[in-house]
Amino acid sequence: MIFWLIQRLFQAAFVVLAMTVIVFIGVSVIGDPVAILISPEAGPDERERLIAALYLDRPIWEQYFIFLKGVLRGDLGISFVYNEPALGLILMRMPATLELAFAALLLSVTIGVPLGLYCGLYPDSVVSKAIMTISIVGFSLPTFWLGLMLVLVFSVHLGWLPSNGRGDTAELFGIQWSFLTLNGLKHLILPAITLSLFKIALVLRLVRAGVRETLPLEYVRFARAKGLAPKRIISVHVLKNLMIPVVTVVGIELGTTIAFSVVTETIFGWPGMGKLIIDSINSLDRPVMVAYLVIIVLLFTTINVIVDILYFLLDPRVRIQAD
Amino acid sequence: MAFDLVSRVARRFTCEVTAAVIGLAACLLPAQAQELKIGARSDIVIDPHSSWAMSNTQYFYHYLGFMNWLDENDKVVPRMAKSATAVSPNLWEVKLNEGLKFSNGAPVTVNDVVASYERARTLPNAIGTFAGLFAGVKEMKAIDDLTMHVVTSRPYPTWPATMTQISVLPAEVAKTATQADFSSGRANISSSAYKFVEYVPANRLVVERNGAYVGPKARWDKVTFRILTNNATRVAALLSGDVDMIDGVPPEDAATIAKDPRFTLYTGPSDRIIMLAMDSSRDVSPFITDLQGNKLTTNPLKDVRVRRAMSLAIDRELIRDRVMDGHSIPNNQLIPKGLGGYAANIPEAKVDLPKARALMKEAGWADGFGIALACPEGRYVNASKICQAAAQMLGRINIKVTVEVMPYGVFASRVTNKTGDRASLMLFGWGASSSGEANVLQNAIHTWDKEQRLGAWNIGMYSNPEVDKLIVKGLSTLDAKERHAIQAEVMTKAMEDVAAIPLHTQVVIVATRKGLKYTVQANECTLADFVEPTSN
Repeated sequence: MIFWLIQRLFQAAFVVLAMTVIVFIGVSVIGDPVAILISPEAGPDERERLIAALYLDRPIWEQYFIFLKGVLRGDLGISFVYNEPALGLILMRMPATLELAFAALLLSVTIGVPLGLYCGLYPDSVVSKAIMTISIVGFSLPTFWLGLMLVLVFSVHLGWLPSNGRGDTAELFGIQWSFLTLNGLKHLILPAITLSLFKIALVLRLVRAGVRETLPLEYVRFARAKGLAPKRIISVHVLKNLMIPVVTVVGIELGTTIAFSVVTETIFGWPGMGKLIIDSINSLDRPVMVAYLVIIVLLFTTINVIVDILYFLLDPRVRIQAD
Repeated sequence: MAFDLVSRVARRFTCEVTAAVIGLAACLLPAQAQELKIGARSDIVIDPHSSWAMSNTQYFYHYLGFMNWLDENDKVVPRMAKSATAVSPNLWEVKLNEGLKFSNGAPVTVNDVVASYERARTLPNAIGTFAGLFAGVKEMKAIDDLTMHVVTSRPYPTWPATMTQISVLPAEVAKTATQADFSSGRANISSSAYKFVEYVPANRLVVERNGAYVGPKARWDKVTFRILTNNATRVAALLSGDVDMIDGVPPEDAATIAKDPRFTLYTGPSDRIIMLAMDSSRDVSPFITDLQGNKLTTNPLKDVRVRRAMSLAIDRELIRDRVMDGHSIPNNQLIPKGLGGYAANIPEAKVDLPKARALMKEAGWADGFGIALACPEGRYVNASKICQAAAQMLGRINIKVTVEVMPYGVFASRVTNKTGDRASLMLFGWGASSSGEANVLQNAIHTWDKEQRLGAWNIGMYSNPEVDKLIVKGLSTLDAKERHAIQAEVMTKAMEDVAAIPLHTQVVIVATRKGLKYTVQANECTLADFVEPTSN
């Protein structure tokens, strides 16, 4: 187990390194950040001084090594725009994004799993068919449209919920969270629903398919023949087995939500990382772009490791293989 | 004592009676804090000396002191400064008002001003550096606590306008403050009407009334700027009542808001003008082709008749009505009406297709040519839509235009790279806020001259020695009236020669809830003290 974990961590480190190379080359071909950030009335000497100060006059490989040297000191670069450490900028916005992503995840699991279970157990009922039809809508609605419509209906017309922002926050572990206050929760509802609708549909369908697949299997029949209560069969034997694909997908979905909830954050003015990265791309703030992607790669590899550990716990076959 | 008690009881009684008669509100109202919530279109770079842009300065105007301010029409008005006099062509004497105080209680002296200006001039790694404003400034020195001398190496007529751009901090702060001190607010020591409370990046800026300020009292107890960079989000925030007002209303939403009885729309001309710049200097321009798409070996834009025909082919009123939903002001020159350097004698820019076609024929281009229009997105209102409209209008005189939309960052680096391909036709905008007059001339019309710092944004590389000479003469003319007359003369000549094609003046659009009145600022700033409650 420990050897396996170390192996995974090495793999992750290599992925991060390879990614920084790709990102570095990528961001350096899309335009000149100095041209966009310096005042139109600045003279050529200021421009040249600035280009030198930001190492933009050096060849790309040299810039890359300067960056790597910084990384070893825990410094992912200074934002061109904000003149602040890029890492700090991103970490400061991370709680907002994590909060939103976990809220969406919670909704998708607490709604998606029971509904999927119901649809799998009673596939022919009218309710099941209705749920399945509605889930198609969940799949096909683009998030930005859904978000705008929710704002239009619940904020502008009905006035029940606020249209944007995080609302009041309260401190926990030294970080500000919205879900701890009533006002903050109100602000959280619309963006969380927007983000979770797709995931609810996804989880629902996965669970349903899993149930349909597992029910006719030998061990379920055997359990039934043994006279186990249906409740126990479903919760222990069926549900546990079909959780493996669900955990995988939910893990990946969590990663993408944290990394790319850009659209939702923009529509709801949610001050998270997604908004930061979009702004950084617009202003060609290279250090922030690179630092962001490094963090995202770290995040994905961490999530993958956690998913693998969950496999370990859920699936005896993986345990045997590893031993 | 007894009297005091009686009067207190009496007052309380009156209040209770009033409350009973008119309602509780009348009694509570005076005690209620007056708070204003503004949905703002731009985020802030919080270090006041690191990024020179009006979108930052508008926030600093609230909670940091400035020597001068720009009024709603871009005129320089004194703020902390009492006066600024050009004692000799190369020496400005600036007097500070007496009795000014910072929010920490310390008096404001010229030392603070000098230290702040030095910080703005030399702050390392400031990407939007202010250093350019100090070009030609040899020395800034404190003569006494209230007198500053600014020695320049050549006449600097717009120094008073420069003082509207740079915020003043206490000297010890200016000498030691780091970025983190501004984020936390420790270094944001106010000598303005408001003072800094908190800044949460990408979320909100909160300021409250500065009790130590000796000037006119701030209108609001507390002002919260909610930073909502997305247009739809900002509009939704207003419609749902989350904020009291928003700036940067998208023109397409303006009509809906104006019709809604719950809101009021305020519009007015900005100091920003939108134009088409043309490559009129190279013998071969890389993005001009014949109608089959083969590169041309000549550059039709060198011919003033072609440039004039293009200007005549553009229907600015149609752009206003159809593209900008009525929110633009067609313009015939590169400075909005009313600002220094505006030439009243330039004829109105009217569409005239027969004349345009005749000019094209006369120039030998009756069959037309193909050209690419480089179009920056994300900086000017409705930029890509304007480009598409202009392209179709030029199509009517057989100029086949392909619109290339790109992010502003890509656009700016491409068109300012003097050794690269640049572009043949470009949409471009220029705001006059930093001087309140036609500084577009030295920046975008004068021939590019690296040493003299002229024409840095002359992206069409237009060059006209006669115009250049006049621009330089204007730059060293201290008397404003005389200088503006020279600028107007330059403008007339440049427009005669179609140095660029002016399209329109951009309009500032702000919306408030009913019961508020806003005075639109030409420099596109959103300022809380220009929002006043009306009686209803």
